[in-house]
Amino acid sequence: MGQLCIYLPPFASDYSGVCSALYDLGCLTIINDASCCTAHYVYCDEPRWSRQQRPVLCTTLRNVDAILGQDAKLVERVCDAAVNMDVNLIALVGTPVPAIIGMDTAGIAREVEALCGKPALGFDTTGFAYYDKGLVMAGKALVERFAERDVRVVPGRVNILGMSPLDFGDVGNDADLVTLLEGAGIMVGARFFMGLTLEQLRDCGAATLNLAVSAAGVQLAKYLRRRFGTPYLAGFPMGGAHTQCWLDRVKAALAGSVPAPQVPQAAGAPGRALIVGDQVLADSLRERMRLEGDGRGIDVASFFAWDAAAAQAGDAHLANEAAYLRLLRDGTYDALIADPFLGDVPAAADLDFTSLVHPAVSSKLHWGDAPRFIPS
Amino acid sequence: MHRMLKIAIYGKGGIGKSTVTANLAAAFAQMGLKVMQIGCDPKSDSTSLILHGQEYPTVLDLIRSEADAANIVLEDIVHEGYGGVLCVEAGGPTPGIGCAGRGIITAFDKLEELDAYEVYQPDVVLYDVLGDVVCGGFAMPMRAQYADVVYIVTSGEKMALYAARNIATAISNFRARGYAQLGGIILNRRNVVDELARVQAVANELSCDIVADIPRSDHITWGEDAGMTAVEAYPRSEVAGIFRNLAKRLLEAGGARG
Repeated sequence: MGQLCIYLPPFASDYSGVCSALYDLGCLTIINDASCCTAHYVYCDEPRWSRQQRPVLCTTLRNVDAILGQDAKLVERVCDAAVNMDVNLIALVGTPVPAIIGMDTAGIAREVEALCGKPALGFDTTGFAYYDKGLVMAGKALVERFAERDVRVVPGRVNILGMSPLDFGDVGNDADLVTLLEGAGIMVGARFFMGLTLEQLRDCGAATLNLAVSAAGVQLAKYLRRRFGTPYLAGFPMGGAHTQCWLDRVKAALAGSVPAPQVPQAAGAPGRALIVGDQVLADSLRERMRLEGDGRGIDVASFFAWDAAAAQAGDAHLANEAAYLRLLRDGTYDALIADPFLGDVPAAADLDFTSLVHPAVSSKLHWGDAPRFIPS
Repeated sequence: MHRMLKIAIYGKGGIGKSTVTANLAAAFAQMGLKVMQIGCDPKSDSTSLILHGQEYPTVLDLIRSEADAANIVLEDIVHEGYGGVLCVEAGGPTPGIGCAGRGIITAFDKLEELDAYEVYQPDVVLYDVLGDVVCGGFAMPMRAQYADVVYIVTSGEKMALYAARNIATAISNFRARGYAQLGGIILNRRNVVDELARVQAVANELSCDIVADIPRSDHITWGEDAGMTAVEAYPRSEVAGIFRNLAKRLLEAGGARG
C-alpha cells in the first residue's frame, strides 16, 4: 500500500499517456473501461480536448463482460465503430479491470485488425503505472509498426521526443520549440507527441539527432538509439541564456562534436532548493538557475520516469508520497519549486515555494497556468 | 536471434503435469540443452524434483514484500537445478484472497522486466500451468511472446478429458491472434478401463496426436521419494526412455514448426 496518498491526488496514469501520445494521429482510441478512466482522460488529463475533440470511445465494460470475457463482442463493436468513423488507425487501451482479469488487449487488437483490415494497436496498460510509461509504450509501438527500417539519415534533421501536454500543458511550448529550432536552421522531423503524423513516423529513423525533452522522451530516445543508432540529447530550452546554451549544444551534437560543459556548478551560496517535476525539465530548470547565477545547491526529484545516469548527487527518484514528505521533512531544503499540489502539503509550509505547474499532477486545476518556457 | 522452443504444459489439477514437465526438463538437459522451467501454479511445486526438494522464495513471495519488490534481481527468482535447469516459481496469493491469475501475469511481467529470456537465452522454456484455463491469467502462457505450442497432459479419466477439451477450446479461441498451437496430448496413465481408446477418441476429436504414452511407473514414485525425476534417478528405466523420446519428438516438432 505504498502508493496510498494522504495529500496528493492520483497522478496521470499509463492509459492517459498512451491516449495523449496518439491524440494527433487521428486515431480511433477505444478505452476499455466502465467509463471512469475515459472520463478521467478526456476531462482531467487532456488539455487539448476542450479545443479539439478526437474519436475517443469507451467500451462501457460491465460486470458481466468482465466475468464472461466477451472478447468477440468487443471485437465486433470496435470494428463497427472503425468502419462508421472511417479512421485509419485503431488503438485499444487497457485499464485496471482488464488488467486484473487478464484481458488480452494486444490479442483483441490483432483480431480487430484481421476483421476490419485497418491497423490496430493494443496496449496492455493497467492504470497501475504513471503516464510516462504509457507515452513510452505508445511511442515504441508506433515506431515498431510504422517506422521504415531502411532510411537514409538526413543531415541536420532532429526529432522531438517526449513532448506531451501532461508535462508541457497546451500553452504553446510545442510550437515555441519548433519555431526556435527552425529559426536556428534546424530541420524538425517527427514530433513525438504534439504535432505527430504517420508520415513523420515512417521517416523518424532519418533524424541525425533525437531531442529528448522529457524523461519519457529519454526512454524513447534510448529505444531509437538501439533501433536506428540515432544519438540523443536530453534537455529543454528554459528561456533566457539557457535557450542559447541549449541551442549551442544541439548544434554541436548535430556537428558530431561533444558539447563542452557550459553550466556553472553550485557556488556554495546559502540555502538549498528542490525542484520536483519531470526529470529532464527539472534538470533544465536547474541549469537555467545556475546560468543566471543562483549559487545555492539545487536538487531534482521526480515521481516519474528516471534516468539514474543523468541524476546528480542529491537528486532523488521518489517512490511515493511518503518518500516525498520524508525528503521535505529532513530539513535539507528551504525552497521548493514544484506543482502547486506538491507545495500544498504540511511539510512544505515553511519552504519558499515557486509554482511549476505539472499537468500530470494537478490536472485541469492548474493546466492553464503551465509555463511557456522559451519566451520567458 | 537465439531460437527458443517454448512449450506450455496444461492439464487438469493433479494429473501429473509437474512430474511430466520436470522429467521433460531433465531429458532436455541430458541432451545438452539449456532449459528454463517456469512453474505457473500457486502451489509452487513444479520445480521441486529438479531442485531436489530445495525451496526458494517465489516471484510473488518477493513482490509481496514491498521492501524487496523494487530490488528484485534475476538471481533472486531463477535457481539452477539438475542439469543446469533454470527454475522459476511464479507463486500465488495468500489462500482464499487475492487473484492467482493476476499473480501469473505479474510474475511474467517481472521476468520480462528483468529481461530473463535475453539474459539466460535458454534453448527450451517449459511453462507448467495450473489445471484448467480458468481465466485470462492462466491463458497468459499461451499468448504471443510466450509458448509456441501447448501440450495437454491427461489420463483416461472423465474429468481429465473434460479439462483437456476446455484447454483445447481456449487454444482454438486464440487462433485468430496467431498464438500457441495445440501440439498434442501426453497420456499419463491412471490405468482406467480402455484408457488408450478413451484418450485416442478425444485426440481424434481435437485433431491431434497422442505424443507420449506414459505408464504408471514405480521409478517415477521412487524418484519422487528421493526428490528427483525418474530421468535423473533411474536413467535406464523404461519410463526415463519414454521421457527422452518425448523430448526428442517435441524438439523435432518445434524445429518443423520453425
